[in-house]
Amino acid sequence: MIEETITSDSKLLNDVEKKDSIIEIRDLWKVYFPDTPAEVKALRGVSLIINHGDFISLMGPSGSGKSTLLTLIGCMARPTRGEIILDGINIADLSQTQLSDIRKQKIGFVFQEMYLINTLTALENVLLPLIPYGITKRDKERAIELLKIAGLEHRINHKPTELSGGERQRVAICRALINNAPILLADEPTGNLDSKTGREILNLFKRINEEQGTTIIIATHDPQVQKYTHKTLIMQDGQVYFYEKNHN
Amino acid sequence: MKIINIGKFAVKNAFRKKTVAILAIVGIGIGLTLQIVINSYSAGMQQRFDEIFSELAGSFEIQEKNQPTTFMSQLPSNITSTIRGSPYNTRITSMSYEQQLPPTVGELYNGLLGENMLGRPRLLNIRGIVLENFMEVYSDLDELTLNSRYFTQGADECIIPYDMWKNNTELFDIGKTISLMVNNTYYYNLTIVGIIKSSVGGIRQSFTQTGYDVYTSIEVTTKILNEILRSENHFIHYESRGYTSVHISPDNYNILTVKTDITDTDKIQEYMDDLLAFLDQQYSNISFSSYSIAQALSNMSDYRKTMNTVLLIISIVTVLAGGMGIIIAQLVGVDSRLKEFAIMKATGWKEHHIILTVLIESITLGIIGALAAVSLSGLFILIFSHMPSPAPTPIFTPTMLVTAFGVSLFLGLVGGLYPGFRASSVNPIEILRGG
Repeated sequence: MIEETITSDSKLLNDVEKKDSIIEIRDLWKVYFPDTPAEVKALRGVSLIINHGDFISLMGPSGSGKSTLLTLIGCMARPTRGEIILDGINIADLSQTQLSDIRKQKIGFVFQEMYLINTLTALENVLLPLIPYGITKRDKERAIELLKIAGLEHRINHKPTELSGGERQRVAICRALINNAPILLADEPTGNLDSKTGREILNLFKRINEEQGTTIIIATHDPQVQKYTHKTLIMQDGQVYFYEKNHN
Repeated sequence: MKIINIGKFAVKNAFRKKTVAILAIVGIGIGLTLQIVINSYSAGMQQRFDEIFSELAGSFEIQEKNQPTTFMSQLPSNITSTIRGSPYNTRITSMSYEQQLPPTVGELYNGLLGENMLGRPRLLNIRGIVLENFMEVYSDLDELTLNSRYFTQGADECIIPYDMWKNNTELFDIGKTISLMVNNTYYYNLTIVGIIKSSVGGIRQSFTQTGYDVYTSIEVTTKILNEILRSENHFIHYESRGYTSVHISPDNYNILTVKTDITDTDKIQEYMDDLLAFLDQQYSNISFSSYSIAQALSNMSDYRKTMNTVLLIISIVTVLAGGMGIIIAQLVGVDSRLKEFAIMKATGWKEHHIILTVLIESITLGIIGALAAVSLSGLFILIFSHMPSPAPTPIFTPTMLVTAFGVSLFLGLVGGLYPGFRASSVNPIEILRGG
């Protein structure tokens, strides 16, 4: 039996156990084109806590603020107001370089489009985030290990043009994980895949979450994703509503 | 290690837009090729001028005024002792007098000496000299090929220039003879004993390229001129070609080269004028003229500077066009890969990492363009230097290589800078928005 509860985001911050949190968001606002006729309030005072090892689906209609929330958690934009604390670090006041470091150390991204580099092999694409920082033998071993987890051990030296859509997305997931980032943000990762391949990808996310303890947030329109995640955050009009599943 | 990784990655990506990259390489390759070829010719010319200046800066030639050819100039046989006895002797370090034969003596070889750059048959220019005096003034005879020797003064021997031997070894080689025509049935033979390394002979010949300078002793040319004048049967052949006995005088010299210790080209002109005025005074029935090759070349320096400036501008414009090619190639490449750069930023690449990547990509194109240019210009220079031409041999120096790669590096840097900044300023949010 599944018990469902829906909570407003202000209550959510107080109710959730904070001692194991990896992401803390307090009164987060993001306003595009402020004080102009085109002003858009993409986020309206979002507050929430996400714990280590959470596997969350972020759902909501287009324009509800999902991508904006991922952008801010992913240190790719600054909030108009509010705080984001990632693994104990308040990122609101960090410089661009410091934000880059946070992205490298703490966050992995998976996108709807895989954006693999066609001149590089699957292995080299996985190692892409490490290129500017130097690639060690151990990094290569980890990349191969990730590709094995993703079922791509036979595709290591293949170029993206030689891979199927599902295989390319799995390479992109491995690329997001190569930094040992504790947080994985995915934006419509199954959006361009057929349902069977989509299921394979979601199973891979689940396996990564279970085996490596990676905190995963998947922004999606696909209701099937909820079957794989522990919790669902529903967004509407720039606010977050909590939708939790309890498997009894 | 880090830069090597970025470098490897960038080099792999330099050809993402193959056609555009190749066009950029072709553009910069053509520009640099032009620059290298121009520079190598300019360097060759400069070296040649420098050699001539260092050798002939204080030298000048004296001939009889208004004579159309050197062998028609008739200088008095005591001219050297007249000059030695003059107040101008103090500046003179050496003198070389010379007697030349009319080109008619070489008629036997008409059609066998090839053509000069104007497509005209090459002629033999027989120069009678005193070897010791000549070598004090000129360096043309300094280098002999293997098994060569200098002629013995007074003997019926000669030395020939390198190309004359190279182009017809069957006819002209050590031990073979050159038959000089006294009349249609009587020839005077000179044995070839040496081959000099100068391609066609003396400095003047290297500019005019009318034929080959053959050197023999002045006693021999005097003997041949005497032979021509010895009987009417002999001379009739020359009269039929418009010569008179005035033009063929065994007792006179045709040209005198005076070497002084003066190195300033303006002062040498002043010295020449004074000496000629003195000679005109001494020989009332002859007028003299003088000519300084070094000064003539010096007078050409303004022309050379203008030419070099024009050529430099042409090569700069061409190289810049190549540089624009790199900018365009990189801009096209960067624009089509903005999302890729956004991903790189999203995964922790910093802006300077991306700028560095694009710079290395554009430098790679520049360096490949420079490599192509060096190969291509080497080929062109090789081809051009084997074509008959009075132009000096082009010189390919390490400086030109360094310059070519320096220019390509500069163009790569400049060409990649703006695209690099453009790539680095991409906002990774665009990816999340599906932009």
